[in-house]
Amino acid sequence: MSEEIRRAAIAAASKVFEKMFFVFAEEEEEAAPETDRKEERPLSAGSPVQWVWGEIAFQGDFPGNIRLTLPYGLALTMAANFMGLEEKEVSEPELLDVASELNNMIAGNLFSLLNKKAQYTLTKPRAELISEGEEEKRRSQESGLKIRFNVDGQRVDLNVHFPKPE
Amino acid sequence: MAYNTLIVDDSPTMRKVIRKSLAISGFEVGECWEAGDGRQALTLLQSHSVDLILVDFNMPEMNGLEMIRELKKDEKRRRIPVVMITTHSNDWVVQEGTALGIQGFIQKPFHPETIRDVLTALMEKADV
Repeated sequence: MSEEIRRAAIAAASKVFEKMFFVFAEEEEEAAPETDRKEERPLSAGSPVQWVWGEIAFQGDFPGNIRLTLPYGLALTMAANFMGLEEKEVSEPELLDVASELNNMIAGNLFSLLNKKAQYTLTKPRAELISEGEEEKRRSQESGLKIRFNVDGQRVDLNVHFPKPE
Repeated sequence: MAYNTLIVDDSPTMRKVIRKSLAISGFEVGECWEAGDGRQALTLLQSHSVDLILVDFNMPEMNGLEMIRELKKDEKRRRIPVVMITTHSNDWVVQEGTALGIQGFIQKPFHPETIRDVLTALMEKADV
């Protein structure tokens, strides 16, 4: 089952990245590429934002959640592509909304690929900006199915949790 | 002919993207309004002349199916054509939506051309 979920998650994420955000995602099996850190924005606490973290949960036949972590610079590029704007025109609320919508689309497409008959509902997705240290901490705590992508030369982590797979 | 259109989605950026996609696609839109959930949309429908509704499924307060169920109770507005644009394309959503009278389903992610093709075919049939 986990291989089926992995394949479906890769297919769903790749489709969403390419079709709606105009970037290309390849599953990364070995060492991840270095993240481009030129795009940083100070958090209110003073530490630099380097990652965008998002989560959406699902309830019903397959309860669980997915979490997506992507570099701030890539998220900004994707948000600009999605909205047809220049990167400098994308506000922080818009960036977070786009990250939420990205998770929403991956989750919906994942279910479509796994089981068209599954009855499920999605919770409201959430997204936040996090620092390098926080990203490392959350990554080390992840226990679900971990999928790493190379998206236009940058590392993106997708974690899929199905606590009670069939 | 230009169609007055109501876009219902809880994501403000998705509403903007749908608006842009409509413009890019060549589908003729007259007035265009936005609502963040089903309840807001039903309120807006009371005071605006809408020819077409594009609605998401997954929204807080009142989801897309619940909103259309309420709309169908309104004798004046129950015939407004509705298309659901959603990440949910599983059988139960489509079956329940079709039973409620939703005439088209577009799965996110979408191309602007898909929106144009679905809406053009629908509005030709609807003859608003």
